[in-house]
Amino acid sequence: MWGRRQPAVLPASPRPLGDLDVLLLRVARDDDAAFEELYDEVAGVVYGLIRRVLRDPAQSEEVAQEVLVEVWRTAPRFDPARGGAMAWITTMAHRRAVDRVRSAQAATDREERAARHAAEIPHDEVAEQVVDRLERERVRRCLERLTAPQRESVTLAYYGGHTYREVAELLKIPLGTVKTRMRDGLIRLRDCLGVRAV
Amino acid sequence: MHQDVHAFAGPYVLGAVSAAEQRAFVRHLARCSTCAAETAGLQETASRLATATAAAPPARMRVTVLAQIGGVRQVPPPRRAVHTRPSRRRTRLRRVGLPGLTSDRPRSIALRAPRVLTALTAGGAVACVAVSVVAGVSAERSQDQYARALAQERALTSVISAPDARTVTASASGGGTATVVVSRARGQIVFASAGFPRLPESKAYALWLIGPTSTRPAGLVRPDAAGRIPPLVAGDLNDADRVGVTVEPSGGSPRPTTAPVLALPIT
Repeated sequence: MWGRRQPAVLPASPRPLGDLDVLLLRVARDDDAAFEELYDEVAGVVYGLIRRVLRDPAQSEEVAQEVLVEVWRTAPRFDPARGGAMAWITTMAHRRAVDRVRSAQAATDREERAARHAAEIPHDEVAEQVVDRLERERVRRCLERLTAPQRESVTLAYYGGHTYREVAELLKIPLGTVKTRMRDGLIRLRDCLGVRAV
Repeated sequence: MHQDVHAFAGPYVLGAVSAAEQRAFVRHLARCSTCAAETAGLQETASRLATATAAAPPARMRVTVLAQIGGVRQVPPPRRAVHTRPSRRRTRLRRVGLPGLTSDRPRSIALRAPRVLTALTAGGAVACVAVSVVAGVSAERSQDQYARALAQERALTSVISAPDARTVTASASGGGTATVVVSRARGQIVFASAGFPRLPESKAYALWLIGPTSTRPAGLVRPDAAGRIPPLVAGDLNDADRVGVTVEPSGGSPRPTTAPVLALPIT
């Protein structure tokens, strides 16, 4: 009619939510079978992140359990218009881990934690799957494209659980500089990873 | 000062701020849509720092967690989202969306903008349908539908507010008008219509993206009881230079089988 004959394709539907978003929305309707599926999708990320920040496996397991139960409890508050399910869950996990670090550890531990986490890139897990490994590689490559000070600021904060004030103190740089490095570093990381705007 | 607030986006998404600073920044986000958009993107980025650390948890954790949730009651869905969203969304669409619609000739923007507003709102088209999608759902329907409507609305908004968004309107041969917002940068269109004749159950309006080498199906729409057709986001545009509409069986067709009721150039 308007052009050459086309192969049979079904009409496109409006842009769908991601699989994980849909799963979490099902969980939000008191669906425990959906939660079981969700658990299998995200437990590794939740546990891995918390362990990354806390280091201690027993404590990490405890906090990861709390977070996953909290995901179940507060799932009805998830609003896909404001961001994806994975970001919603990892934000919650990160917050819990950081709360634990900040309440449990005295300020004197900071230097030690800083030494362990400085500019370190995650690679140390045993039971990693192929998908995990690819994602890890991708993130690692993109982290390497940051300037060293940007990378240091981002990883000290995110993996080390330090506030930007602590990072400024540790690196002996002004507060304004550390904030800017974190934002610029994340922007570069975002562009490198091809993260789409929400 | 402003620069300072902006820079807070980094520490905020990295969880590197105090509770008080966090609250202050969240308040700021409510007032600054640019900052909110940037922060959401950075939040997704930080999430990738998390997924890169995935590690297998002890197997007992699964049993423990699944057992625990049996005794934990979920929070009720937030009511405020249902009641306030339609009006807030409407405001946002007017504020963000319409100035984004650009004209080929800068001089005519001021003149065109109100016309676009009329076309979009009076015609039961993009702006007000985006609102009614959510408003309609907020009444009774399931959370899934609500979520889908929000996602659709987000997709609509992203096309309408794209910097290169252009609007074209045309009349259909069988009656009714169609408004198409095109963003080449997004590679998508929003198709909205008003006054299209109703169809028997077995038929639907099929949307086609027509280019020099191909005609691709881009979605099916049906008027509701009131004769309204919900707006549709379609893409990828690729080399499509026209949007066509035909009447097809309600299951869709791989290619057009009837004469077009509309063929709208989108170059």
